[in-house]
Amino acid sequence: MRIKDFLFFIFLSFLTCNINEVGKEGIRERVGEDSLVFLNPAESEKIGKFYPCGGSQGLFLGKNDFYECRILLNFLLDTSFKNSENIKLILYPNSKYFSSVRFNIYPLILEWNENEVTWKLASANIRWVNYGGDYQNILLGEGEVKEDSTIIELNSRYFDTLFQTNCGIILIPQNSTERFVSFYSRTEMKPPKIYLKKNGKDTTIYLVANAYIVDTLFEISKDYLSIGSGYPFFSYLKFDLAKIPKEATIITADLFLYPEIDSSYFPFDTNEIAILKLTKNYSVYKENTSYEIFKRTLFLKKDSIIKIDIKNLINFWRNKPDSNFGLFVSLYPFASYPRFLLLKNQDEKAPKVEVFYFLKPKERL
Amino acid sequence: MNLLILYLLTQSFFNPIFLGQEKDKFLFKRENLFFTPKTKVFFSLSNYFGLGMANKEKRVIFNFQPEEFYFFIPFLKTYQIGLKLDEYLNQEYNIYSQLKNFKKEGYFWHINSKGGIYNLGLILAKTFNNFLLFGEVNFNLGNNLEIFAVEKDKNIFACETISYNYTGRNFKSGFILKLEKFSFGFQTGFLKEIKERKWSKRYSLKPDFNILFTLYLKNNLQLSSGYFYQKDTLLFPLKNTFSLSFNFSFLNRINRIELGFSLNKVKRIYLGLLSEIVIKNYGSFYPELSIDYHKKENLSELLFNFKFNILFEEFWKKRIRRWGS
Repeated sequence: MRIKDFLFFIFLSFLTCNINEVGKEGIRERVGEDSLVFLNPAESEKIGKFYPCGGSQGLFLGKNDFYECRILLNFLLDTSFKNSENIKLILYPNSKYFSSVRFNIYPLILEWNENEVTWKLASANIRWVNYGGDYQNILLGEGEVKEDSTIIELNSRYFDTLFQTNCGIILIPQNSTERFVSFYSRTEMKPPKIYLKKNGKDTTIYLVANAYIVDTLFEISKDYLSIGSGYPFFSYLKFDLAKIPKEATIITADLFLYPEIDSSYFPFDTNEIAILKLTKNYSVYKENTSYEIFKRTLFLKKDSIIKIDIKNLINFWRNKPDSNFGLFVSLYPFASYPRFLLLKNQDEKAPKVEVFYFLKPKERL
Repeated sequence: MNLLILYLLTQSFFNPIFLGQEKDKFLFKRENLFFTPKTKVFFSLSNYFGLGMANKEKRVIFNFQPEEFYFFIPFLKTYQIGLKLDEYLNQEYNIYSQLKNFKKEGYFWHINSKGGIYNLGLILAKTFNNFLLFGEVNFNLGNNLEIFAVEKDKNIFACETISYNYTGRNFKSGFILKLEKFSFGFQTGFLKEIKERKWSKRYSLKPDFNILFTLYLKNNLQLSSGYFYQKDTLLFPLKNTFSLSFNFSFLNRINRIELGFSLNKVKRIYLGLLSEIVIKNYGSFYPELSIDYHKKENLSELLFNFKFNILFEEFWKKRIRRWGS
């Protein structure tokens, strides 16, 4: 090594940041003592609710031991399409969520709102007479989902009944499959469409509304909390922060959740979890309690512990104790693939917040 | 020929132990600066490297900062008035530590202190042939931030800042007797008071004394011996400091070697090397290297300070217009 290189190396080593402990005695008495406390929830509860899933996350169809998903589609029909022939409904499955689901198609008889429809409600203030959609028992078509595209021939004799109700159609799964299929919605690259032929002229009709609705077919043991999507489950947790001294500065604050995978329907390896900061009192508003999304984070199915950094939220509550209404934990997006994950809620495996903090340092001399 | 003796300290691993680190006395060691009735502007820039050692741990810190500014104007032939701005007490340090053994692994403290207390001063000097009398009043102002951060894997997890706001004052006065064969100087700092406004603290610092004796052995060859006594234990360096300096001419330049040591709770040995490069019709440029070693128990530090000092001098004289009509 030449002398010039050596000097350059020495110069660089001077500029290199190093973290060796030199001079610590001078601040020994001044740094604040650190502590680690665990907070168990003062209140906890699980809730689930019918959520207007729309089609933004895809149109899910299928049925298994846990959920049933149906699809509602509505088209802008003109009476000029009456007496058409060769009518086909074309749907494009999303390859990420493919399953060979057999299904039937019926005409709906009650108007519904794409942004408000759920298993129970056709729109915000109107219930279905029969939960899961009011439809006429006329089989418009039936078929099985194919991988590239699903083309279902609709009965042209019954198709004209759609012009009377003008409420669209419902796709109802017939067989039970482990997984659900998802079709691209009307706002995506491959939207559902109806192809028909009249007087030798081909016409394509696109959707004006689409949604999927979902119901649960299971009950959750009271020993568990739950988080879910499709039919979203929320775990409500509220922590008493009195254990944290007012003069403390929080280094880390992590929420720990302990999943019970074996008893859950949780088919995907990577999932997104959301922490929702409640803005109203849960005991008053229950499942209608308003919230803000505080944090979204990914976790893996194989994780035996889910750890979420909620330091900012804890600091917010410490600064504004009156705003500590607790939080909801849920899977995200709420309208995504129907699934649920049980969370242990007993003894050491109950959800908890680990708060690591230090006390304010002492001033100089 | 004027010779400046500069010895300034800056960021130190010892700073957390004390209220701050007081700079060496500038004026006192620059006797010739007073005896010539010139307008003088002086400022210095400092490049500072510090190697700290505690047991087997070593750490390097680096700093660059302007250090001081002086402006003198002579008046009434034998008087000079001066304005100065310099750092009075340096409170900077930068320390990493896991000393409290955190309850969770991998975390450590990073404590960084920035700022200090500054002197904004007014100087008055009067020369009586070979005798110089001077007085100095300094108003202190300054801020200091101590940032206590908890870090892990190069990320800051939490931070607490303590801020200080200082005011204060201090006075200095002294004399220099300069004869043909030797000179003798004495200076004292007194009525030193610092108020911390945010935490309502008040520090009345005890006086300090400085003595400097110089022998003029030959032309441009000088031997100086100095002694500094700092009574106050809040400040660093402490109490007794002895120094010996040697001025000599080499390569047509005035050079200086200074050796010093303190025998206090903090042991101190230092070596200063300075060379004067005259810039004709302008002033002088003084590159300076100082090496300072401090030790207290298992903590020691080696400080390298490479400074650029520039002095501009101008005689007051009537100028003759040499061009135009």
